[in-house]
Amino acid sequence: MSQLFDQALATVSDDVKRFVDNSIYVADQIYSILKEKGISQRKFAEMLDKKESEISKWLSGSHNFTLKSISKMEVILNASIITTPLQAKHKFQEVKFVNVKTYVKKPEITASINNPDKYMNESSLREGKVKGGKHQIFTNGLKSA
Amino acid sequence: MKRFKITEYKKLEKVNLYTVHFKGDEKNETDKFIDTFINHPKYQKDLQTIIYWIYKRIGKEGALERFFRPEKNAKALPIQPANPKLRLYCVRISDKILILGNGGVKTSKKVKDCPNCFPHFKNMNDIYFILNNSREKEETFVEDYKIIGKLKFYLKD
Repeated sequence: MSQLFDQALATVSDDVKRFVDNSIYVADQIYSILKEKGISQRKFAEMLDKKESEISKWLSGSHNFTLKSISKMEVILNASIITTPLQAKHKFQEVKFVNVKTYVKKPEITASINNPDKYMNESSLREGKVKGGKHQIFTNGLKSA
Repeated sequence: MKRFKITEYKKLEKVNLYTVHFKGDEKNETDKFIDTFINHPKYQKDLQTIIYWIYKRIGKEGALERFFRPEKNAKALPIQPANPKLRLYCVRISDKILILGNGGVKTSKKVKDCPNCFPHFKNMNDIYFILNNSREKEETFVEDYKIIGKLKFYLKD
């Protein structure tokens, strides 16, 4: 196993890390838009008047994108590729409420009349594990027997 | 005739990196590459970019086909920082296995005209061919993150 690789990795400067990270974020954002819109790399290359190999290189996440090329792609794709923290703040401040629906499976609860504190599942009743006394299956909250 | 073996180099989260080690050489090909540029005044940052890209992109997501620049049958890591001249050649076996070779600073438009890159480019293309042959003969196998079976070969001069 290589120690030199680890040694080299340990020397990577913060600006190089930031460059690679940003390049990957932009490439993944473009890749995601293309997938969402059903645009192939070949079609995208045609739209930008580039070679497919060039687009492939861009999407690998190691390309030094210029603002000019990002802007061109944003216009062609009719989508935003980069959003600054300030833009994000303005954009998401406008959202006052978000409706969230959560679906939870309703549990089936059974209880013994003689021992209402003791809950048990329906199968244990069917299997005759509870003997004697009157049993009532309760769903949607407690009901009187 | 140059004898070599394929050896494990570095295991990352989603990929196992292998390298090429020529018989009689103190260092494997990838260590030679790192050694050449780790303190290089001009290409140090380019090396850092390549190393970090391998760790971050390949390491976290696997050696996906779309991450590489085709170089005949071998691949080159398509890093393009400020100076996109430094090339590291490799052979992609699967999403989980990548063989790193050596590389250099490309000085001409066509790789065949570049004395720094062409020997490494050729080696990795030959190694791709040799490994493919060996896999077809069922002497070398790929199992998940491992290359098993025959791992020692030779290159004709």
